Amino acid sequence: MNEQTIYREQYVASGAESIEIPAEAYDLFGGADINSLELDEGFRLLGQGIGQGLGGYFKQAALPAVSALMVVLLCGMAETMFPERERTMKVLPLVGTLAITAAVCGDLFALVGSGRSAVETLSTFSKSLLATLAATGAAVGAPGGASARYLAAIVFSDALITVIDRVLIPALMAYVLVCVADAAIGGDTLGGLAKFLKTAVVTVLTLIITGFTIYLTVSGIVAGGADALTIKATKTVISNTVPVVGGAIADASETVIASTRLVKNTTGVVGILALAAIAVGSFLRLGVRYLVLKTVGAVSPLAGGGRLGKLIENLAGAFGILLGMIAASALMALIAVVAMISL
Amino acid sequence: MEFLGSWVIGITAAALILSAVLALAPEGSAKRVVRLAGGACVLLAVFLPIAGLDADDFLPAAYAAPDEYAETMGELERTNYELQKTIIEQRISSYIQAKADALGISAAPTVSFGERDGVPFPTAVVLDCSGGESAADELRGYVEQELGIDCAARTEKELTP
Repeated sequence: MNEQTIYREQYVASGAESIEIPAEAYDLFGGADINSLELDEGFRLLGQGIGQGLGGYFKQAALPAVSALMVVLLCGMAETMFPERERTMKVLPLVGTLAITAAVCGDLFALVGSGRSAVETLSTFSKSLLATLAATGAAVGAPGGASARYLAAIVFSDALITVIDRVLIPALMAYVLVCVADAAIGGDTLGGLAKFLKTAVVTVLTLIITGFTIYLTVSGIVAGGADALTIKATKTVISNTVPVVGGAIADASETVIASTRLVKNTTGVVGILALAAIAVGSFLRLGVRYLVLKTVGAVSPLAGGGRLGKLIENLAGAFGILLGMIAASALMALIAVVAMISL
Repeated sequence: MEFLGSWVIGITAAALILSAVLALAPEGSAKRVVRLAGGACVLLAVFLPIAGLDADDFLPAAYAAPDEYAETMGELERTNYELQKTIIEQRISSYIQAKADALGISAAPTVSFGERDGVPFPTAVVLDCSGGESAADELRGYVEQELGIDCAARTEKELTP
């Protein structure tokens, strides 16, 4: 029995073969087979894919940003040309607010849906990946540590999705509406509430990630103490037999464990690359929109649109909040995968 | 998703109504009262989702996960056990065949396994030998002495009727 046969049988038995890598993960690698890539080569291809797609992301972000800027310019022109028309001046900020909301929020709400889908994809993929990594981690002599880390990853991942679904996305919607209402009313009436909502979302995400990392570390240390006993059993059997048989058993044990470790590490590398590819598409879509809108918001006061410029900046913040949710999901999955590989 | 949709509609309605009412409210204390009341309504619309959170919503996944993991781990353990047996058998067979070559006979060993502390352990060997009886006996004795496991040797005379 050669090493390739051993690897192949373990690859199938550990469930690594049945891990489905989402289609969007392949797109960024330019058609290369992720399963055969080294980590550095994978990141290089990913970087190339990002570079090629970056222009498209900027084009997609341009339309709502340019529309918003046009609204600011038109409102600024109207203020300059018709300052004596009091009724028009009262209604103008409200009209400008509604126009900017229509230009930007349609795009935002569509991205909330795709962001939610990205979070779910990350969670589903990482669960099947972690089951394989945990099984192989247990097989190389760390069953306690593997089981503890796997359970922590599953529970926290599901908790994060539930919190994003039930609390954070409604909070994000509320933030957007509060910002719009604040711009419509004027006087920074609801500015404090908007800031609070934004801070609350960021704080919740930070707490979940921090809590997960601490729990993962502590449970891994506690469970790892019992794992040493498992390896001792094999060594006891080997030491109590004649050299030839003991040598054969030791050889078999080392070969199988080494091959299992190889399955774990290669599956882990594929998993890291796939997770990065799933997350980076959403990162770029949201990140580019955030930057472009922030820029538009920053230059709006130059066109006389102070209040509308602030609205645009706040809406850019909404893209940032959504980016934070996806980043938290991706980071949690990545931390779990790295913790499993290190067993 | 229906839950999410109804929440968005509720928050939207609260914010729009507040905006409209504030625009219509006369300046002064009335506007301040309206602002306070409207703000409270928006806060309620934002924080009510927290009251709807239920621990059982995500605990079922945690209950299912160990089964999935245990299944995969069990399958891998069984596979690794069989692989170890195969490798041990190969090593022992190679060792015995090398000795058989030195004695000028050919032997096809079949290894039986038991288990010690979860580790596959060879317990007996049956040798199918072709060559002299004395050489087969010598090989059998060698295996029992060097490997410390029971060994039976069958020659061609015993195998052919």
